[in-house]
Amino acid sequence: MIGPILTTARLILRPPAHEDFDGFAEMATEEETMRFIGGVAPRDAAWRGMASLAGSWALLGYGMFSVLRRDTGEWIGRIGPWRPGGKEGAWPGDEVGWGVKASAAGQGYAAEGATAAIDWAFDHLGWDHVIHCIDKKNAPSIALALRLGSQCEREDVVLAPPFEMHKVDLYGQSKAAWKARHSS
Amino acid sequence: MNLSDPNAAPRIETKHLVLRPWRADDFEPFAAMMADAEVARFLTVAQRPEDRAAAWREMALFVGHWALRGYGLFAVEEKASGAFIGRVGAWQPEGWVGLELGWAFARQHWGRGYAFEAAHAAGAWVFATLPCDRVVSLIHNDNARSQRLAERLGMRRSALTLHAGMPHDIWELARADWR
Repeated sequence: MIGPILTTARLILRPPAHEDFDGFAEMATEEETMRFIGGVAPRDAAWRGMASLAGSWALLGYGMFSVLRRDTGEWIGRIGPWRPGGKEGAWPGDEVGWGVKASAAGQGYAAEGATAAIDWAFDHLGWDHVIHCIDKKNAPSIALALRLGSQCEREDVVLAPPFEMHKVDLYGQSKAAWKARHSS
Repeated sequence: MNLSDPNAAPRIETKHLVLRPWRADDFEPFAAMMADAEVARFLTVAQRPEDRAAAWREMALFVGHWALRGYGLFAVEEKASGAFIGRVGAWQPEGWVGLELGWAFARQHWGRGYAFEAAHAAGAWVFATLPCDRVVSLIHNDNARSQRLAERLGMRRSALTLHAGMPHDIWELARADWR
């Protein structure tokens, strides 16, 4: 096993597996979904993207989770800790990112999954801060970052290749702030 | 759930080499290899050297291939020095022409027979482990070194194809012809 299985009220989060591919490939064709997270991609590129997430788990001990609905088992997206290259890489920080396919959007799944992923990252990865790289025009993701308690910390950050053409705003918060809000 | 652990990939020893699972500390020598224009020339899209970020994603892709398929490309280590010298193994990402026996080595390790030693061991492992009738290798039209290696492995040049916008030959080898 290359990573943990997390459960929330409605979701299962686990490292990507081969059986998730049709979900990844379908989401990769959704223009609205992919607009601010790398753009649409054909099946072969979607496979490579998914494989890189699995590879990140094996190399670094973290990577994005596949997210499945507990009631139906349906794959609905990928959410989780992401820092290509690890600490020595060019990524602007320890990110928890999210992407949910169109048919599952607007139902609070991203918030539910991201909350579980942030909890896990702070408890298991030694992170003291989390960021979310978000395009200025991506209003739903900005709303989610704010709902999670993150604030805009830096604007117009140039991402590492292959996304160096894209500028993002960095939303984020400290572990202390997260724990203060979420420990009960 | 079909999920293999890439870190549990097999370890294969040959006379001079070890084929083994990838480790995080393979990244520096792997990135150096992919930044070498002579190596990148026949491996990357646009024949350009890879920057570090692209090299990391490629390494993660190689590792993730094991997780999703249960087989993949090994990291290759020189026994005498412990150095990472390249990668070899089975490669079949989505949409690929077939099950590829692939190889690439850092330039300072060329010319010592290591590529043949590693590719032969990887081929033996492929035919012993995977239920395939044949393996293929996609080799750039101008890549004379790899063409010679394919010949030495007993592969035959078959179809010409366009890969990443460049002419490549598909070399193939049937299970019955492997030795």
